[in-house]
Amino acid sequence: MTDAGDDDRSRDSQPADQSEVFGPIDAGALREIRDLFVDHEPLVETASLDDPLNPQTLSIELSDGVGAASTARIDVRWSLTGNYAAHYTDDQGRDFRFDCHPKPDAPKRHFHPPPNAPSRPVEPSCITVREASLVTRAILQRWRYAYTHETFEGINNAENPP
Amino acid sequence: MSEEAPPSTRASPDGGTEHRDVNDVVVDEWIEETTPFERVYEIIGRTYDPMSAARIADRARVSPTTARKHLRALVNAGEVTTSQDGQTTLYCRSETAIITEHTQSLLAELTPEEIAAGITEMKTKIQDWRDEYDVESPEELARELDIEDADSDAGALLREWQTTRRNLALAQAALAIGEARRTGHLTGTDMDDDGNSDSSIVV
Repeated sequence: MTDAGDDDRSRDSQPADQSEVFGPIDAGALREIRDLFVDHEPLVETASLDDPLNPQTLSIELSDGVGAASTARIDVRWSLTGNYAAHYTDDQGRDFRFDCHPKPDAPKRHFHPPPNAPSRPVEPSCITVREASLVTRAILQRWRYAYTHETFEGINNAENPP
Repeated sequence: MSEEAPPSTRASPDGGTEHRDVNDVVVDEWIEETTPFERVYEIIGRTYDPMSAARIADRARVSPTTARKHLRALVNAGEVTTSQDGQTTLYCRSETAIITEHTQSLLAELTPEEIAAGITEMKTKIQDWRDEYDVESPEELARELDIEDADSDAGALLREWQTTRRNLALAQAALAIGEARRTGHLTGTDMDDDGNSDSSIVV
């Protein structure tokens, strides 16, 4: 049960000239993630690729947002190398992102916190699963947590406070 | 890595999931909603770098024996190809399967004319990037610009260029397959006896 973890660590220590690479977008993964969002989240209004032939981003429009927000959107990117970025934004101008990609002086899996998801500083992400379907479920779970509690407080906590 | 640990805790006695780690919760959910075969297929479906059956088993949360059994079936079906690393067999998604999956998505959503127009657009984009940055490839661009962060504008350009290059190749394959299908020659079900079915191409 350890070899995959070992591999993950070796991936984290790539040569310096590779450190910036996100990798090409995996169109098939975006379609799989799109279908999961539609199946699992009743507040999804639309979930579509920006370009069916050459997609860069999957955008999920939600019919409600966290707290005072009345609409929200989650933009998802997923690469062939398993890197990803999931960016929440709402009509109150609030943003957060769960990311996984090499980033200088930051953990590979990192979180850009609300209210404006700055490029720096970032926090370690609470999402440690790796497969596209598991990461998607985890993002949905964290969004649901914030939505239900009407606050971004604790959104990056793997273990929810009671 | 908590993601590699088997799910250790079930839902709490009160049936709530509030106190459990989100990563454990989603793994349990996944295992409940899918069969071992579906999980192996999902993992190998996104495996472009060859991986051992043991690692695939780990990630699919199945036993190595189960993973090997399903992987062998997928190799026979042309979905998966193998390579050798010493004594270890490595598995990855076959290129044929990648092209087939992509082609089906494209042909379900777009007409051949739309795909052809998209191919022209992608070629133009790539040529424009070459001209603007005076480099041949995104890799050369990365060396030139010394990109430090995937979040930067330059990082985004690198990603878009690499993505466009791959999607151009896939769209060209999809268009060719679509053409071969319409002529009916792949399955010998030609609509026209004269072998020239041009009239049935445009519906």
